[in-house]
Amino acid sequence: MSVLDPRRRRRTTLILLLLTSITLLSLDYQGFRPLNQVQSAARSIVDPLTNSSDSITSPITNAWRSFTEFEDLEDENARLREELAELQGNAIQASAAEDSLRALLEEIDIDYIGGADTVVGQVIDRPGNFESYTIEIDRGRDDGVLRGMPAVTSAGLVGRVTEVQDSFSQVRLLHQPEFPLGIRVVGTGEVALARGQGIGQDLVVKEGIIEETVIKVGDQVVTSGIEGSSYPPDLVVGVISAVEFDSRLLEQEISVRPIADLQDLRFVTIILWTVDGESAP
Amino acid sequence: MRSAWSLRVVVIALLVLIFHLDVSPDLRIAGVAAELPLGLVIAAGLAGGVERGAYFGFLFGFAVDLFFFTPIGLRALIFGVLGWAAGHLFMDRIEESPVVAALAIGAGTAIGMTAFAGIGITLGETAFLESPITRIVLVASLINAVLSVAMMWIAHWMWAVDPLGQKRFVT
Repeated sequence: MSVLDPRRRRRTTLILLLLTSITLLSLDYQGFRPLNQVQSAARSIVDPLTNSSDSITSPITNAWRSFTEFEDLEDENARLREELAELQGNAIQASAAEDSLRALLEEIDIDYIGGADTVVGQVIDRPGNFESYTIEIDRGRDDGVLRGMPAVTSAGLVGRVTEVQDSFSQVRLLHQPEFPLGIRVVGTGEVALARGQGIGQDLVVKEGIIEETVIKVGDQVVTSGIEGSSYPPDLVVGVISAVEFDSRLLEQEISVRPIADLQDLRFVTIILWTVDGESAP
Repeated sequence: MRSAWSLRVVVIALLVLIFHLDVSPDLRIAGVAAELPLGLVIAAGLAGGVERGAYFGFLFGFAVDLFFFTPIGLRALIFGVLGWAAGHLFMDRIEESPVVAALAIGAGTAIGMTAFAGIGITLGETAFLESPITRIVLVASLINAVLSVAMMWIAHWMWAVDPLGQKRFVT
């Protein structure tokens, strides 16, 4: 029996670790299913423990937050009161507008998504310090969520489900650079492809809007819903925040500010709709 | 008994994991949450040596990876290498001094987080580029350095050894 000398053994340990880690990374990139199953199993064990520990830890965390974020919370409270009042008014208008929209869409033979089944998911606050273009929610395959389904808030579209496990999913947000989104400018019927530009940045449409099209700052933007689009039609996206003319391409470049606050999401609604018509089990 | 030793490691890892997932997000300092798992891995290497540090780092990193949508294996890689590196400091008995241990844990945290951001960006986590990386690394390192005394105590209890590698408890 040969016994490695300590120095050689330490080196072997490091090489073994590096190789195993690289193997794990490449398996993960290839979507190796057993790894996802391990992930689901681990969460099903630990998540109940974290939930039950809330009752012990919440007094501590609440005290800390009230100490460190008191002024922010007061401002947020005031802002939320204002928003609530505004939303109550909008809800009445929206109800009437929805009826008109449904009738109009039926006339031009576009599926109306307003009545689609939905599931509300709570955003899981993971302690990551680095920014992310994705959020995680506590709804998954077991709740009927499938890859590709749109995620919205009451304000509008926020993104699309990109990963689904049994009890949780990942939603990729609109502001991710190069996130493609088919849009339509309300009132013009102009359809184009918008792309994300990063956290806190507006979406940008660089091509497809010809010079003659009249687009103004403040115009509303919804999903195009054209054939093959990853989204159902007429989900609210945002408003036009800037219009510039590209003299080289003879086209207009427009910026779209998403209405939904993508940086402070607590709950999102998943519309149980997929592009190929696959529905939840 | 090996089982008692293993049980301690599992219990500590589980408690730190739960704390990290459930409490850390709400206890931010200057917007930065503590990176306790990273600190514990370095402390485990300092208190337990090269192989224990490396294997504990790898397995604990893998366990933490399972709770995030960042690439699985990223933390396993970084934690494993840091545990391995910290184990070499154990051989120099560096952890016998609380101040030096604090410096080692703080510096190790900075190296680990910089590596995490760097490798993550290379692997396609481009959102990391929009983070205030310098601030995050500095604050997280400082937090871990301040908590180093507790982390070293936990690591010693976990391995049940004294700094020179002698068994402290009958196991």
